[in-house]
Amino acid sequence: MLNINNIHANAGDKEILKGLNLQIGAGEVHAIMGPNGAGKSTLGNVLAGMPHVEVTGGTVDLFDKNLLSLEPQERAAEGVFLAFQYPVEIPGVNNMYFLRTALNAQRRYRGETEIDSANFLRMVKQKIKDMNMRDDLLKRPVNVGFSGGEKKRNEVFQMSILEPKLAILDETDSGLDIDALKIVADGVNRLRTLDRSFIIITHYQRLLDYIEPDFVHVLADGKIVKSGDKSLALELEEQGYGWLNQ
Amino acid sequence: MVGLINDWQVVIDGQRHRILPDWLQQQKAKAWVALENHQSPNRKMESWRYTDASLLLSERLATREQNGISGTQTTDADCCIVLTNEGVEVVGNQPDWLNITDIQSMSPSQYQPIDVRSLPQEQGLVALNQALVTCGCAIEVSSESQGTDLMIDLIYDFSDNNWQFVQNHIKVAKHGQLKLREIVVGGRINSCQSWLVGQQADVVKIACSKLVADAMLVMYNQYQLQERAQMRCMHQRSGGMLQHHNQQVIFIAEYANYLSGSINKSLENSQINDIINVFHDVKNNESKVIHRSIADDHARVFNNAKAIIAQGADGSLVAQDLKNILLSDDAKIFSKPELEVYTDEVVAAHGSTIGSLDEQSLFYLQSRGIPMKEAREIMIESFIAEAEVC
Repeated sequence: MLNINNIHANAGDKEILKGLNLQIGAGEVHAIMGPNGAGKSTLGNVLAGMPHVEVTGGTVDLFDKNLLSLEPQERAAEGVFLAFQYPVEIPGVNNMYFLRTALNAQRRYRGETEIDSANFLRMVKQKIKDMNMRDDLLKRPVNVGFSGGEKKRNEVFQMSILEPKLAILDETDSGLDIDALKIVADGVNRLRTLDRSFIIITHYQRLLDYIEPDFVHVLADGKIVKSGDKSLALELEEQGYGWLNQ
Repeated sequence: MVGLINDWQVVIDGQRHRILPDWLQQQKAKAWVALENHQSPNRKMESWRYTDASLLLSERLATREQNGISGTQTTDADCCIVLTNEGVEVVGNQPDWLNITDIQSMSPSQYQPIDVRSLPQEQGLVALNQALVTCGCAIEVSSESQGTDLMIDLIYDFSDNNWQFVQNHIKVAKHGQLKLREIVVGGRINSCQSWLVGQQADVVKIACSKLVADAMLVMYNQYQLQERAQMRCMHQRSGGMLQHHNQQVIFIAEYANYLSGSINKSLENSQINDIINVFHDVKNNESKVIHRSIADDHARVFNNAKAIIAQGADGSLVAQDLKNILLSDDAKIFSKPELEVYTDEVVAAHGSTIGSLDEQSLFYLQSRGIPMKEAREIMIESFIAEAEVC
C-alpha cells in the first residue's frame, strides 16, 4: 500500500532523513521509535506534505500513486491522515463546521456526493458515542481551551470521521495520563480495519501495550536501523537506544 | 478647506430645498466661519498620514455600482429609520418608547454638540459637517424601552454623486435599552453622530459599512456615557474607495462600560482608517477596544486606539487589542495602540500585532483535506471572530 523508497528530506538547512526505506501493507500497524532528533516527526510531515520540509530525494507511493507530487489536501483526500503532536487551535470555527468542510472537500476531490447537514449530524453523533467521547466537543471551537488529552482525543475523533487509509499518529501519547492514553488507544483500536494502516510514532513502549503493532522500527539518524516485532519495543524499553550502537 | 468637496456649488444648490430651523442655520453660519481656520486633510495630519486624502476630491466613476439597498427591502429589522436627501422616513413598527425627529423639526434641546478633544485636525471634518448639514435626525429612547429586544435599523440611503452631510443626535434615557444597526452601502457621506447614553442604559450598536467600490464615508461619532451605562459597538467595514472612522468616547460618570469590536476588511485599493479615542475622565470605568484588520492587494488600513486616563480617574480598566493580517506584499497596515495615563491606580493593557496567516494552522486545515483557498477563508473568519463583541 505505502512504499517509501530511499527518502531524503531537509528541514531548513539540516538534512533530517537520510535514505529512509519503509513498506507498509494494508491493515498493518507499524510503530516507529527512536531517540530525539532522529527524524520521526519529519517522516510524518513528509507523508502529509508539510511545506517546510523539503524532500531532496527518493520516492513515496501510496497505492502506486506518487504521493510527493500531491498537495497536502490532495494527500488527505487520497487517504493520508496525520494526527498532530501539537494540534493547532482555530478560534471561532467549531468542530462540526470544520469537520463537515473537511469531509466534503475530500468527497469533492474524489468525485463523491457531498454529505448534507442532517446526515452528517447523524453520523457524527453516532461516532462520538462509539468513541466514548463527550458531544460538547462538537460545538466548541477547534482545539480552543482543550486540555492536552482532549486535543489528542479530538485528533482521533477527526480520524474516525475522515476514515483515512493511512493514519500517522505523531507522538499521540505525549502529555497523556494513563486514562486518556487508554481512551485514545481504544479509539485507535476501534478504527483498525483490514484496509486501514497505521504508522505510530512514539518514544515509549507503553502506548504499544494498548495498540499492538505488527512491526516495530527504530529510526536513528534519519534511517531505519532496526526492525522487528513487538518484542523489539520491549527490548528498547529495557536497554534504551544506546544498545543499538553496540 | 473648501477644497474637500469635489463640486462645492452643487452641494450648496442641493441644500436649498432643505429648510432648517433658524437656530440650526445660525450654528451652520458659525461653523462656516470656523471652517476657514481649518486645513483640508493632508499627510501632515496624523489621522491622514497613511491615507490618500486626495481621494476625497475624486470624481465618481461614470458607471457606478448600484447602492444595493433600497429602503427597507434588505433588512429584517422591526423598525427602520431611512435617511435620504428628502429627509427621514420611518418604516415598520415604531414603538412608543422611540421618538424620531427629522433635523428640519429638531429643537435646540435635542441637539448634542460634538466637542472634538483629540486630533485637532479632525475638527475640520466636524466643522465641515456642521457648516453643511442638511440631513439627519434626533433619536430619543425613553426608559420604557427597558426589557425590549427590538432591532432598529438606521439606513443611509444615498447614492448621489455629491457629498451628503448628515447629523444624528441620539439620546438613550436612564434604564433605556437600544439595539441599533447602522447600514451604509453607497454614496459619499460625511456623518457626525452624538450619543448620550443615560444612567444604567444598555446600548448595542452594530455599524455596518460594506461599501460599493467608489463610495466614501467619513464618520465622526461621539459617545458620552453616564453612570453604569453599558455600550457595545460592533463595526463591520469593507470596500469603498475610502472609509475614515473616528470614535470619541467620554465617560462622564462612574462604573460605565464601553466595549468596541472592529472588523476592517480592506481589499483591492480601498483604504480604511479606524481611530478611537477613549477619555477616562472619571474613575471606575472600563473600556475595551478590539480591532481585527485585514488588508489584501494594494489596500491600506490605519488603526489607532488611544485611551486617555485623566488625573484622578483611578480604578480605570483599559484594554486595547489590535491584530492585523497582511494578505499581500503590496498591502499596508499601520497599527498604533496608545495609552496616556495621568493617575496611579489603573489597569491598562495594550497590544498590537501585524503578520500573515499562520502557516502551521493553514497546513493543519489542508492536512484534513481543505484546499488552500478555503483554508485561508476559514483562517480569516477565525481571526475576525475575536472582534465580534455583539
